[in-house]
Amino acid sequence: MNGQKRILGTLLALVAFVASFAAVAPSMASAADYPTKPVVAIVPFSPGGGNDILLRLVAKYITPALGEALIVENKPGAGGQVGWTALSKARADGYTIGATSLPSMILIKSLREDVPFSLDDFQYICNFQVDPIIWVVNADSQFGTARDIVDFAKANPKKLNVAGDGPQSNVQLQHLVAAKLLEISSNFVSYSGSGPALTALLGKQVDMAATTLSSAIPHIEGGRLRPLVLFYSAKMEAIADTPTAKEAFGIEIPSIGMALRGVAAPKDVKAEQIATLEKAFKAVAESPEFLEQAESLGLAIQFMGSQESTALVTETAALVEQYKSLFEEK
Amino acid sequence: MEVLFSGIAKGGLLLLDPMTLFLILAGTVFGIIVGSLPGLTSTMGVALLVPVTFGMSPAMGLALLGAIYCSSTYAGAISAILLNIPGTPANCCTLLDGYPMTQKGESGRAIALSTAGSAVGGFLSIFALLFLAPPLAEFALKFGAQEYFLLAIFGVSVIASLSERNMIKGLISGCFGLFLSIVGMHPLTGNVRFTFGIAELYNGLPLVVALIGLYSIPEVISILSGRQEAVKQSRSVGRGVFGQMMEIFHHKILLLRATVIGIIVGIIPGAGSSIASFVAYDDAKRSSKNSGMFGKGSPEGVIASETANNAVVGGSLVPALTLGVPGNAVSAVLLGGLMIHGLKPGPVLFIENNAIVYSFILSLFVSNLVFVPVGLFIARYCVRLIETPASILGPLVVGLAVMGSYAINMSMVEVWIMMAIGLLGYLMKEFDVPREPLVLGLVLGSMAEGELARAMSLVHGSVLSLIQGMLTSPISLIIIGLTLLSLWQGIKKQLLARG
Repeated sequence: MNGQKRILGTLLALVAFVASFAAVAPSMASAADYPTKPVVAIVPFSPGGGNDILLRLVAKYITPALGEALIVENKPGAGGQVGWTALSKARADGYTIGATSLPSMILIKSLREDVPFSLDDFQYICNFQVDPIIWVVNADSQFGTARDIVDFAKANPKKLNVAGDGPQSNVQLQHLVAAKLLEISSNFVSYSGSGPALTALLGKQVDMAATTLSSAIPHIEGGRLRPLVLFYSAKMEAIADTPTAKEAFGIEIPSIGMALRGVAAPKDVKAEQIATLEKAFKAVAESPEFLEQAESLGLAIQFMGSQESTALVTETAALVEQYKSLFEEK
Repeated sequence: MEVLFSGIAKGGLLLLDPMTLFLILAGTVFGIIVGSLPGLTSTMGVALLVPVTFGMSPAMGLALLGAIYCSSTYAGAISAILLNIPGTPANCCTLLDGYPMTQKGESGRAIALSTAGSAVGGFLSIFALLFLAPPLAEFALKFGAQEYFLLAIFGVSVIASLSERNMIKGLISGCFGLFLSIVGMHPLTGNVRFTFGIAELYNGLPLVVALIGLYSIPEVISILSGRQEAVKQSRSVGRGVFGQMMEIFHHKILLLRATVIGIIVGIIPGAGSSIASFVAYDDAKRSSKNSGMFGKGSPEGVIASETANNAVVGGSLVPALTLGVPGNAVSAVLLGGLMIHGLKPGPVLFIENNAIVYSFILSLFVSNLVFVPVGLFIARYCVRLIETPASILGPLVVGLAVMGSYAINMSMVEVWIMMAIGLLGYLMKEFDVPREPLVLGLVLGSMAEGELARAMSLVHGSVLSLIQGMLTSPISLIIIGLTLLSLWQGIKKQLLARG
């Protein structure tokens, strides 16, 4: 019987071990000294994605400034809806915050029915990173410039195959808005993420891809892909020679699909806690070590505080409202 | 070549640090625990430990994560063999013969075979990663939407061989799996189908949750109702284990075939270790002299499934490291870990971070060796599980099932889904409908649907050009050929059986 007891003991230990990471329970907080325990950051996407890597990178450097660790908890599902719903309903004690990604958050809210969270359910702590959309082709593509693409698409309506993250993604929105303003029609083929879309381009399954800059950078540096145009008003250091939309086409195209990644807290979190968090994130955004590593990964860090971020949400929501009907046209 | 050899030399030096070797050992222990508990997957195990590696040097951190990947993929076999519950989706095929072996009192032998098979498959695939990565990555790029679609169809043809015992029930189960795979958003249009407003279902029925329900719950019910067929205890693992492990080398051709299947499926982005083990199992069954033994405790079935799913490890890292395109969910997390350590995956990785990359690859060899003794040691105690009284084992498995499905996304919704699928699984078991075709249908259905839609979109909706494309692409033709062959063999067998 001794053997059985030992097995039982081992099994119970295993159960306790599992339970310890299944439950990260928030408890009561006192506003006086905050934080007194690690802060959990919900990432509404799978591990390994853009938001996940950014927050994990921040978590690596934030402990000195925050005084406590930042723990990343992935809660993927329904393109972010599951995680953001959880964040909107999380206990407002300042120990649960979450990653935000514009315009994806707004797209989910405005294109789907019965979304349980609202954009007003959050207090936006800061915005951390901008990730604009670019058009890329294979290095040996027949298309030399963005103009060539437009000419081809005009001559062959609907024939240009464009790979991109989708459906109903920020990438597709950017592409549709660009196509509308450039008066071209193309065939947008959705892939389950920018990675698979770029793989399809590398494998020459499509003519070009629309993608976030950060996903394309390794391939651009490796010489396999060539960026044609950047849908953003400012130049990006990583692809300094690539023209902006304004330079390439001579017209303004709003950078509506640019991914803006930041963090938010449930709306009832105390103002001083938000201030503490904002300060800590700002310290990371200014730390040379963090910046160096972010740069080497091709992440463009642009820090915006709580006020600015909130304004950004309103602005982006208005833009999305203006263009969302494009998803239905096709 | 020069880069390769200087990389191996420099990487080897980094790896010799005793601390790194210790971390590999620790990662292996952790990985085996994660892998053998149903519901905790390799992906989760690696993701949990990414933050722990922040304080380490990149070489050490990556060695730790790699060790978890290798050992958790292997360890899912332990619960499949002992409890008839797969530890990870990749071990679904292992239980087909692993559990019958346990019932015959051969659990020790089954575990020894799965351990040895996993180690060989893993080892050879890392070899391919080390020496053949660039050409293999180019091969992976040749797979487009149309090839993926055909591959999914080929996978579906395996259903026939999984349901030889009762073709009608097998096909019903497979069709049901295909139907369940429709749940969620359409991959191209984003239309939401059969989700009943549950956001957790938008990305489809979560495979791991479905798997836990399908296998754990029915098992618990039969354990508690006392209807579990008597299981004979085997000699404890450990005694004579070396000889049992060597048995795999009686099946050299089988090992090689399963390894190649694992590597190929691994390098194709988006496929995965569960598909690899299904295909390898089917291949083994068709080429075996004792194909009648499959499903009744054939050692070959265990070897094929476990060798193939561990061979996926090296394969999946090929496109991840050379192109920056992860082959599956685990390698996506590993890639994220790599980036947080300041390494840039992609073509420049092998040049800029030569020493670290090669030390990582070499560490995987070590991991594949280390999990053998560690796994066998842990399995020695796990084997006693089957002696545990039903009143303890039953609730324990339910507890694990609930925690496992909760832990995936930290939400109760998944637990309810798991329970609902559990009811379905119970009914299937009660009416003797095989559950593996359903799993296969669930895995392949969404792949087939999405890729067909994508392939059609790429040819602007013209069926003729799609067919033309399939008949002019060599890879497509090979897959079509394999599918026809597999179907023909199935039909021939059925005809012969009827006389």
